[in-house]
Amino acid sequence: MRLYEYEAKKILGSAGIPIPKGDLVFSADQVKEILDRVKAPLVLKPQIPVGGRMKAGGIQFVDNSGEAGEKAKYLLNSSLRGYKIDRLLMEEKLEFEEEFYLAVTYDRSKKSPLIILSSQGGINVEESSDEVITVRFSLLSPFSKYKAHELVSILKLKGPLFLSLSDIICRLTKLFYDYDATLAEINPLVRTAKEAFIALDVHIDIDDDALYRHPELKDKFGIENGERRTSKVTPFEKEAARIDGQDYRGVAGRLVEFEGDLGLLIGGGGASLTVFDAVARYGGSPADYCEIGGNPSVKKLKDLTKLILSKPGVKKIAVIMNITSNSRVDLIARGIIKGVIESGYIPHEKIALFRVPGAWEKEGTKILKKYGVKYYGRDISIDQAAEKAVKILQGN
Amino acid sequence: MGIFIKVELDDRKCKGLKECGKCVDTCPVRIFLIEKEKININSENEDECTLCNLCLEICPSEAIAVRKLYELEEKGR
Amino acid sequence: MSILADETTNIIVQGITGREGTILVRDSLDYGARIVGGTSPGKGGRDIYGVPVYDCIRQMNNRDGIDASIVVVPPAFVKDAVFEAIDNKIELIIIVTERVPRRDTVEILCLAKERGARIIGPNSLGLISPGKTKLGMIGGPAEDVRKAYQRGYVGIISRSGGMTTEIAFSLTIKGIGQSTCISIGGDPIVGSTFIDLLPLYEKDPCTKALLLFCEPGGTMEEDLAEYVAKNGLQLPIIAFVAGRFADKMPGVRFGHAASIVEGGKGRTQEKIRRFKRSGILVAKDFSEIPSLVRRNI
Repeated sequence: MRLYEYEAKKILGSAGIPIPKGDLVFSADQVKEILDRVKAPLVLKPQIPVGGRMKAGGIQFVDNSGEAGEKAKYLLNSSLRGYKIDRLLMEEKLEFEEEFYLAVTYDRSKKSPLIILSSQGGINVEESSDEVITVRFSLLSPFSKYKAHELVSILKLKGPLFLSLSDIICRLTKLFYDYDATLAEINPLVRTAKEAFIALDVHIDIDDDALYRHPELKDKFGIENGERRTSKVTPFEKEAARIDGQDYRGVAGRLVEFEGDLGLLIGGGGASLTVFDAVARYGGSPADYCEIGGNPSVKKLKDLTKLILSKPGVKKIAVIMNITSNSRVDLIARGIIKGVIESGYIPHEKIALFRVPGAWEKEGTKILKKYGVKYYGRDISIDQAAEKAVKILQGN
Repeated sequence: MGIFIKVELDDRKCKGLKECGKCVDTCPVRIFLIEKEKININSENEDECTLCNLCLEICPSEAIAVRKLYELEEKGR
Repeated sequence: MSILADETTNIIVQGITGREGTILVRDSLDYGARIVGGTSPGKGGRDIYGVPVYDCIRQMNNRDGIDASIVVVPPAFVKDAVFEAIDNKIELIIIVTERVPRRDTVEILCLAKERGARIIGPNSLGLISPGKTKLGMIGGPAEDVRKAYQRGYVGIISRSGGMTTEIAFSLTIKGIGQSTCISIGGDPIVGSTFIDLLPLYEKDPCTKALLLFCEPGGTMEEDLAEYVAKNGLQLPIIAFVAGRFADKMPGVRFGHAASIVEGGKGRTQEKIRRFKRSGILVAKDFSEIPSLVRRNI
């Protein structure tokens, strides 16, 4: 879950990392009230769930308070990087001497958390990689301050600046751990003329799989996952995610929506790429595609099948998976057939074909046979199954 | 209601919760429920049955039957 | 004839009484795997298909004889279960559970590294040495496992759990058997990657070739290419990289931190390019795999 900048800043502030003075506005009417507390010059920052706002020209500077309302109104009526702007962070504009980059994340390759620091922060930081210094640390013991000291010493900062940057690194590292972040990034972290560090922009990603153990995000900061626009998900895709979230067992809900007429329930990861490619190659047009993986419950599969069938334009669905190990053919058959029936359709009419060989296929075949659904096993490959599904649909 | 699996508990044979209740603990998909100090079938979950047969093994009085509805009807034809 | 596990490997299952645990135990016993016990806190004293259930590993007799543990507990309990296994000196731990919090995974891997335990997963289907034993869901019920896997000389490492059996089957029907096949898990961070496992296959006298199923994302393939370029190829390596067209799909975007750490790696075409440059053979499509393997054993 990617936090909005203002949410991330709330967490930073509570962790003792200096942030600019500012407030959130949802309408231009609120600007006046905030001007009592935050004086011009100001910066208006649209709160959207993706980065690159500066490069897209979405950040507005306000030199005198008089024009703040006008500019806020303009932004709130426009879109940025495909997102309609519905909230702005109104902040004091800070003059600064230097831009730093500081992040804590995981190094996938080394399987370890990693601190990244650079004295060349800003929007082009990845291009100045020569100036980047990194240090890995263990999660088994609390982070030691000396590690921050060692890191900062490379930058040759003096006295109070050395200490305050080290302090910010320790606090960010602790916050990264405490909130189950997968990324905590301050860019830029600026040095002001008064020799202070302030976090000008912040990006925090929280691990979706760890949200269950962070009730404080809602209780303390009002951060909720419910209505979050993490990416451009459709309500349909959102509903699929909700169904998937009912139960931790198995995946049945990673769904992508398209415009065609064939609903696809296909094996996850590597298999789904192969099937999707083959469907396109044989001239099929998917209405949506949903991955099944692990061993999802019958109810999850049933709800998902109902959702897929509820999409206008879906003529038939095809169920194609690799030879399964733990995804049980009989349980998949049960869930999908139940979903078709509860949607008011007849299974053998609505299901173009079912190609899922593997665990418990004998039992699965019995079920499919009883409902008259066309079934294939190892006798045809994933590619051939995709081709057949496309042909069956075109024949109608 | 299960349309694939029907789990039946014979009340006359079942020793009840006080003496036994092993099926409630054993079923990995919670088909046996305790309701008003009695063991009942959770019909919502019947179709989740993995056919593990552990309830049949653990029941001391053979009070449980697991029926596959998709097989029964075929035989009946 | 195999790596990591064979017919003598004594296995326990942590989370043995759950839905996944019970299915796993029955399938594994049918295949001949030596499952010697299982844990389920609070449920000690019963048995699952004859396998004794304990509240904790400490209760087990002959703890020293345990070679491997399969962890199928819910995500919130995985870290604790693996710590328990490591503290009881179990050297091979397969984490089957999906959706383990990233931080827990990294903590587990930190401890495992300190103590010299090997972790496969999370989100792994397990591993199999055909004809000898299997650890995890891999292959499913014994009769299906026997259809798909056959004893032989090709090692398989797959990033996709689902495709592991599909690939093995594509070899088996052409009469090409396997030494040990491993589903390493689909999470961004997993305990054992290609370069962690390659040396074991290189040392195994009966593995004559290694087959990899690769996916876009991460740097596991790039790391392997670098390793091979540095250390040379001891074993023919054949790779299939799925998702050639995923490069073009929306949603694959890299942030500043990922760009700095991974330097633009991760894309399918990039992986293929680096593989080829380091001498790893790349299959053009899925159906080419068996013939490419046969030509290079």
